[in-house]
Amino acid sequence: MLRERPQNARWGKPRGRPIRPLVYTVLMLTTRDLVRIALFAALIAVMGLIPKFDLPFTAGVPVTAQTLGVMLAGLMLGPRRGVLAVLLFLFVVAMGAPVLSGGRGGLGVFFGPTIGFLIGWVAGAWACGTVFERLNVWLPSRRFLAALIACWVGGIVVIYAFGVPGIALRTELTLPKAAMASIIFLPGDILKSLIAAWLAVRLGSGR
Amino acid sequence: MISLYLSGQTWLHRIPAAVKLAGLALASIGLLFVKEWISLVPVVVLLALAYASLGRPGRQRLFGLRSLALLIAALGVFQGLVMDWNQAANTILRLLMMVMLADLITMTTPLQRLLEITSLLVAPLDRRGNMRRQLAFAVALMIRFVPLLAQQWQAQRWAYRARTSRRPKPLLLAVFLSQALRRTDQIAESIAAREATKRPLG
Repeated sequence: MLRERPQNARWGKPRGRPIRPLVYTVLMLTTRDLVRIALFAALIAVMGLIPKFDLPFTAGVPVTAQTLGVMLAGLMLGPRRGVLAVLLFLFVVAMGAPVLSGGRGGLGVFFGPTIGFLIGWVAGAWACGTVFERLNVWLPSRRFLAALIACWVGGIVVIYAFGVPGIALRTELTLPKAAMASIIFLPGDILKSLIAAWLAVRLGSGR
Repeated sequence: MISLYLSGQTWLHRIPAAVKLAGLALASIGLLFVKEWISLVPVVVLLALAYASLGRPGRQRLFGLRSLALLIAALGVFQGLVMDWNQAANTILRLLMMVMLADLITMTTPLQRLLEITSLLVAPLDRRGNMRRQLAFAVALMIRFVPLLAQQWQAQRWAYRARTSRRPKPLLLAVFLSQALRRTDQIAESIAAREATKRPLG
């Protein structure tokens, strides 16, 4: 049922920089890949079960830990498998599992105001993974910095780039106003990026 | 693992899943043409009544929606303050309506039916069925992992607190994760070994 990586790769040895679309990756998933993807998807779910905590300096705005799981999936699984982990998580949420933070789940969340952020998680995991990979090549001796920048680009910039227009589209707020509404979550996300970068460096690339 | 599906045999359960999902799609498209928020009020009331008609679990679920409703209300108030109150009411009611409708469907459609429908939709792209098998495997594994991970995390926290009186450090998360990763590799090996006895690899 589940394939091991075939010894005779039908696609041949890639020349130059390999172009590997997502479909190729899905077709070439080993059992170990699938188990790790399932693990990280479960990790994102467990992050949602941690009750929202209030940071003292954010004036009582609830902060969730789930974006930490998303950033970790991108950093530690790489862009393509990290994306698959987030997609698996979202699929299970759609099927009715209450694993989105706050115990939310089901099809309802995909019609709510935070749908943009959910799509942003997919792109964010990919961005985290790619930026981390590239920066590790360019700055080989500064892994923490590479991971931190990757988290900022993927975990914050990209996610907000999808989330803020998502709010604007769902609620008819203009973009600047939607941005104003989301800006309060920024300090929590910066803290999460620090934790994710630190974890990724401590655990090695884990591939 | 607790799912959001409520088992039972109500009138909503008896409608076929495909019909319900098609209805959801149509509702979201139809909503684009509605401009007045007044016309949405009876719809929301009807949906709340549909929740109530499911009995006590339905009413409990309605009450459970209050956190999401609070978020929508907060956004609506913000919109009313910086923009227009009519638009704000429109937004609040639209979001409430779609969320309640989708949630009703989640409540009354079993997981198995949803997976079957997803299978059907993916089938044209997946003639040998490999992707569907991988997806089913991954979903089952993830659902199995979630309570396992939560339990492991709790056990680790309690063990740490039993040994010292200090507050748990973030280092625990790293230990927890590395242990979890190693466990995944063990699980992957045992699954691969099981597959090998059924059929030769490659």
